[in-house]
Amino acid sequence: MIQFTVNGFPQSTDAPADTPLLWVLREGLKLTGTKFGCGAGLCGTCMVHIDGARAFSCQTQIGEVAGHRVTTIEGLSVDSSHPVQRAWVAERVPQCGYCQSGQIMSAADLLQRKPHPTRSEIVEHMSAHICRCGTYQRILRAVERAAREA
Amino acid sequence: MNRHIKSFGSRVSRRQFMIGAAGLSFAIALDGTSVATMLAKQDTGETLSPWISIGTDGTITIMSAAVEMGQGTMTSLPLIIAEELDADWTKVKIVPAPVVEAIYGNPGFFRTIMYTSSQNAVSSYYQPLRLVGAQVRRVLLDNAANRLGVPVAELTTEPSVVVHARSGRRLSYGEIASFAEIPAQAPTIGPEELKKPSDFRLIGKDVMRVELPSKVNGSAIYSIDVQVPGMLYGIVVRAPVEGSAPVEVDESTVRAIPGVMRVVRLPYGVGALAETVWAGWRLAGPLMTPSPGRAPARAGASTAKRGWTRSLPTQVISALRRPTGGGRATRPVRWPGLRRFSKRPTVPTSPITPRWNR
Repeated sequence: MIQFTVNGFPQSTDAPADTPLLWVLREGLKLTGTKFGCGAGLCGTCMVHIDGARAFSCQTQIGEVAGHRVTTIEGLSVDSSHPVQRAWVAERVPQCGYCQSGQIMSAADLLQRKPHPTRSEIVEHMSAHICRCGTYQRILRAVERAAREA
Repeated sequence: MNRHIKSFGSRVSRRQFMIGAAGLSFAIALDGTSVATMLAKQDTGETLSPWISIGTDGTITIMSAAVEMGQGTMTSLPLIIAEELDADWTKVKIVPAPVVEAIYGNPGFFRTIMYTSSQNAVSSYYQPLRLVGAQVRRVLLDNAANRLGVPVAELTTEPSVVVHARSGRRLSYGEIASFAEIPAQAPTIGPEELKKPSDFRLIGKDVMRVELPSKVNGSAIYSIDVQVPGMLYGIVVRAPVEGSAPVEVDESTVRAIPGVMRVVRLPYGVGALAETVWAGWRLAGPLMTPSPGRAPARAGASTAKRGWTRSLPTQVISALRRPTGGGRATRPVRWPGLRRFSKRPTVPTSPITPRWNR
């Protein structure tokens, strides 16, 4: 039995230790806000926080998470009030929205460590993500807005 | 977002209509591309499939007939109705329509299918939905005229309110819903009776997409998020190169993987039914012996020697319901390959009952 914390609540799973955290979150805990994109750490769709730092949940085995704190998009705030979430709505970033949970988790991670990043730092950090709708310009604006209004 | 009201089924009688338990509901068939006919009769306790329901509390529920894929369609189609209905947008609730082509089908496709693609939802539904909204507004006006004892021509509307300017009397749409009667025949609305674009309060204005906030907190439901009790995942492990096929599947190893229910050999790979996605994916790689000799020349032998791919095309995950009876599965659910990588996987959830236990 692997024990860990998700969004502040203690959780445990009997999933095999090599199971990606992504599937434990989605299938086991029904936290489907974290999406499956490529399963290979290439697109950023599955991004969560582990102990406050961003991590690809599809590349993180559940065994590695034992004793650690996981935060998903559902736990970033209880009411979509995180500055990044507010900026995402204000800039109307999502189109289809499928990649945006991951994008938001990465942006929150960046601003936590660097509250006022330069534009190129934002681009560099967010380059871990793919958006097939092409919302990149809005993402940039939203991260800048979140940094400004946080 | 996946909660639907019970629907008529695939066909609807031209007379089917209902009044909701608390308020008015309007079931309307879009007739071709230019004429909307309202179908009305008293509620007989039948199942409901209204376009518009007006609650006595003023809540206006409008069906959204098209699928939201990020273009704002879920907002824009109801907005067209709300414009001509002169609805208070803050009191509008949008509900995804159930699959009833006869009622909600795309007028651009003769209502034969609820089709959302090719940038045609707004252009196909625009005129019919304006007429729908205008007809319902007219019904409200007629009822208000009767109640107030004034000619309907003296009445105007403000958002969700009928106004009699001469006497200063006002009736909200919710109030009207509590006493209104529905005509057997839909009122006729001529094109000249529709709003002038210069009078639009909603169309062309900056209106927030209703589904957008659900996309910043993980609550938006995509097809891959649908989970039903006892669901299985159908997974296809594809050959590394086109044209190659499994030579051998080590059944005993497969059976030892917890959560794998069944393995099917396919001409292009191996199919698995598993309790979890991960259980199905663990099939790949070590379990299969690739057949490099059958790989097409253009793919290169080195690719084939790498073995079976586990980073699957995302569209091949389909969900099957756990079998309840005997027998065996005879029809695997397949989906044609996408031509490009799409981040939103096309994931059908199929309520089928395979007979695979013999």
